[in-house]
Amino acid sequence: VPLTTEPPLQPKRGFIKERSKVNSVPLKNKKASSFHEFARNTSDAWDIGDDEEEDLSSPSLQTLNSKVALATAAQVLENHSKLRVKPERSQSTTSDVPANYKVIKSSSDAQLSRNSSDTCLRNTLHKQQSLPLRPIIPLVARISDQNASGAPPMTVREKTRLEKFRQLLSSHNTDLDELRKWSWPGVPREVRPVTWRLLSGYLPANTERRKLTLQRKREEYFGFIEQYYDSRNEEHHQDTYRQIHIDIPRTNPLIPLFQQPLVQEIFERILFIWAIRHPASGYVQGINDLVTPFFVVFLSEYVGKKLSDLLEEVLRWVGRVSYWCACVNSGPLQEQLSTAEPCLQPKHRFLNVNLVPLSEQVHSHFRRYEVEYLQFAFRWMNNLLMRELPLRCTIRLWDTYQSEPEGFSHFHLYVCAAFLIKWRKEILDEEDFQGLLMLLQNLPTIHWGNEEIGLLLAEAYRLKYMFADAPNHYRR
Amino acid sequence: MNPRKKVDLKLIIVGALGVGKTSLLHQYVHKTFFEEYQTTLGASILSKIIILDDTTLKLQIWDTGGQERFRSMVSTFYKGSDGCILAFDVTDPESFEALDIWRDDVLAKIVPMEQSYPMVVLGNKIDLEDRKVPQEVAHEWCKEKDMPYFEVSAKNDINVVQAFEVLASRALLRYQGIAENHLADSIKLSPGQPRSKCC
Repeated sequence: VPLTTEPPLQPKRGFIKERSKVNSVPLKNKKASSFHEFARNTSDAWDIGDDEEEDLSSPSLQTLNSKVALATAAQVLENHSKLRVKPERSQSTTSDVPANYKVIKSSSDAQLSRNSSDTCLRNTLHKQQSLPLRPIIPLVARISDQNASGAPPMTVREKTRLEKFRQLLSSHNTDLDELRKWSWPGVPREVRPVTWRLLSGYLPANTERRKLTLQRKREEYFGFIEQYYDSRNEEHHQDTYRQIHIDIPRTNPLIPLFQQPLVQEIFERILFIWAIRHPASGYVQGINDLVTPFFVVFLSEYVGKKLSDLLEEVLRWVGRVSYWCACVNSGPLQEQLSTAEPCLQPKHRFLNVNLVPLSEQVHSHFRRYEVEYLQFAFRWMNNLLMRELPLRCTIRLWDTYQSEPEGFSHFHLYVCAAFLIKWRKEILDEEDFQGLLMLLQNLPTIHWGNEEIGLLLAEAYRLKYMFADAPNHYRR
Repeated sequence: MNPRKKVDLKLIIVGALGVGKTSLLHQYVHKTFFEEYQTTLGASILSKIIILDDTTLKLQIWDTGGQERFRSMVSTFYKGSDGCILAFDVTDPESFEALDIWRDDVLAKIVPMEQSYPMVVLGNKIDLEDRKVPQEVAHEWCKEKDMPYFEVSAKNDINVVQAFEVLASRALLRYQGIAENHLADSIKLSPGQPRSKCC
């Protein structure tokens, strides 16, 4: 299907223009002359996001964007080394304090000193938790992935699975039930974009209908653009537009791809259209993160392909698709997002009510230290655990969510319950409110990969059936 | 030697979205600055231990999400707090205008409701050139409300520590006042506490 042209991205007007100054790098420099170059420049996105291992010294780091990547990496390393010396520094700042008082250390240090027998590595990781490193996690994870595994060759099992997917996908009429069954334990990276499109209903199972459907969806999308996107300067949309505009640069702040003006424009467009098409919820902070997995997965389709199209065109198409998928999948999401509190309340009650049979111990531990579920699980529900897991894990999680009935809304609750129980030991080890909250808001998942997510999902599945047999625990 | 007194204080930071609440906190707690942080969803906890006069303060600081729709959820974190930072962005007049609402909201939710609840106001991003809220205007507003005002930059670490310490010392005073009232209402606070200077 040929790529149709879309209304040009318009320059920002009014006060918003001024706000954007900080982030805009001249577009000319950014415009790659070929797709190949573009692909190289942006390869960081799925390397970080997926289970790929990319050497830091690869050729992709020779260009403008790579400077950003290198700078970021350097920053991370620098922060790490700073962290290591921090205890000394903290002490030296308190030289005026009698030597027998050492409590001056920040609490993260205090926490550490309790585990002083741990290895240096463990300490570094621990410290990261309490530091503003949440946004850096993908990069850190990427580095650690390299150390852990290198580039593993495909196992026989993986090859067989990929073959099965190819077979399903190439059939004239894809068997969606079968596709769901195979996707539940994870979709191979190679076929993920098309599988997601099918699972989300963006593409019809029948190959003959696909072309027409795509055509129609694109026209619809152009309609939305015409109808809504230009309204961003209208008075009553100003607030929405402004909020989105503030949040765009801080979506994935440390993945260089997302700092490119063009990518940011596309995100802005997706979010704005989404917000005005869903007036009940409007723009909700956090949904900007939720577009990321779709975006990264669909963008990965273009790696290594020789496309003469301009990067702008490619990116717009990707933006279009991720917009559609985000719409489709956010039906249940929207329900969660529409109002922060009233809608989320029942979801929290889910944990509150159901944790008792799951782990009375954890539940009473929370009660004892006056920890409320809302204090940590708000984000779990609102952002589908995206803030708690590396991006590659979220993508893997979404393979299952799209294969499971009501995956994003219902099954997610069981995943959250399983996730909480997973930290049972760590939770019970903490013996004050603050320690508990620091733990629960900074769970050490940076090394997580497919294996951990697989176990988590299996446990969630078990819980789902356990509760299905005892429905009184939870009434929807 | 007497063991140093130890006090736990809970502080919160509120203000419109994008004014730099998270940046301010990370500058204060970790001495680090990044241009962009992910949006704060709900509320995040941070902690720092400082020594003020002869007291060890364990500060539990709650960073909050600035989007309006989260306000009712975020306000559940006000309860039991000992002090509050109201933050705005000097390049964003709307964030300054919103201070009234944030202030009323906090005052309405703290228990017991009282006028002596410590609050300080921080005008952030003074390192940027396109400032829109004049210093005098912000000063005037804070004076009217009897709150210390600080012009700060999380990026360049200007006035951040000072602002937090003034809030912490006021919160401590109030805490001691409440504690003493509980013990015996005859004890008065010492008047010699250092007054904070702004800007």
